[in-house]
Amino acid sequence: MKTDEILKLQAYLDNEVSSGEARRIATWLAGDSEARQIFQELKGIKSAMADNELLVKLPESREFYWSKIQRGIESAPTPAPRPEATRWWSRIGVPFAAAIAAVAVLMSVTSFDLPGLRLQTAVHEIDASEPDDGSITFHSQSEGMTVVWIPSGQ
Amino acid sequence: MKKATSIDYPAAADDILVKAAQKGDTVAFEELVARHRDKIYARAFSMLRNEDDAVDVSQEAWIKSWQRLTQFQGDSSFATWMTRITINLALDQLRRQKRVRSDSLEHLNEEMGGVERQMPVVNTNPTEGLERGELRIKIDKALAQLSYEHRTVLVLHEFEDLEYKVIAKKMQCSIGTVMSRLFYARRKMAALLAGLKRDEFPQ
Repeated sequence: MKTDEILKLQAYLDNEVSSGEARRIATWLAGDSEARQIFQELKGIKSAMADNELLVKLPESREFYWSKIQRGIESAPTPAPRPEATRWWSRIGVPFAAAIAAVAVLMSVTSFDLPGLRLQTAVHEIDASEPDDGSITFHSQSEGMTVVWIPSGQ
Repeated sequence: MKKATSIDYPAAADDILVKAAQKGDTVAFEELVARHRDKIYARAFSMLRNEDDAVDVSQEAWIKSWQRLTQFQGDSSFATWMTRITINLALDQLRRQKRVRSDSLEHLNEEMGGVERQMPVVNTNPTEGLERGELRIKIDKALAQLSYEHRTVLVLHEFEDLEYKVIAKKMQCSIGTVMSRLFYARRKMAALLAGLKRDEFPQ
């Protein structure tokens, strides 16, 4: 018998095959004595082991065993409180608050020209304070700085 | 030591103790350890077959469970959840041991079912007439003679009732490997329980 056929028998024993495959294997078993022999051996071991694990006892006293665990958990962080069940409004509220924060950040670096809804960048401005004296004022909003340049000839 | 005075610890159900422990109550956690320590140690021992290693791994499992206690949502029993943590740590330990152990030809044969392929089918029931206590001792002795791959797959399948795919994930191998290990492990168990010695196998 081929190994893959034997493994199918075992999968059938362990309820790991589809119902269609199970019917096919049951028919095969009924007509093949060699397959039945192996199947019975596997089944015998499976049923012998079921609920028959030896119940070994911990070879240490409760106090001694616990003392090492206690040292371990004292050096570990206390379990964080379990989060409360998330309510619908908090599920919606968090993304909404994030969107509001994003808009606020955007507005801090830009300005809206509301009448025309025209987005205007206003990071740097250069204007001539007096048209006739040749001085130039440089103003940066983002840097919070204003520099007035006066030509050396003035 | 943090303690919630309103709880009667020895009488409280596991879920009450777990909830208290999740809030940092170490007395509740100690009660859980006292209740389940034998079961957790037994699972570690069945896989590692060494008392000292099993004690260490089981204690590590308790410490890990304390750290992850808030993740326990009660989908399974606390004992089942603890057992899963223990199995994972025992498998890590076995993998570490395997890395430092040289793979002998005999070991490779075990893995591939070299000897088990040629064993005769055990026709008689090898456990017939045994008292339950005797049967358990015999099964335990036979398990001790298996390679760790064969023993682990049997423990996870027959004692923990895990499906092939879950075992494959835990043992980091394919489902096909699990099936073949389980088959050869069962064949070898049948021979060991029937009292067959290795030199009685046909060559």
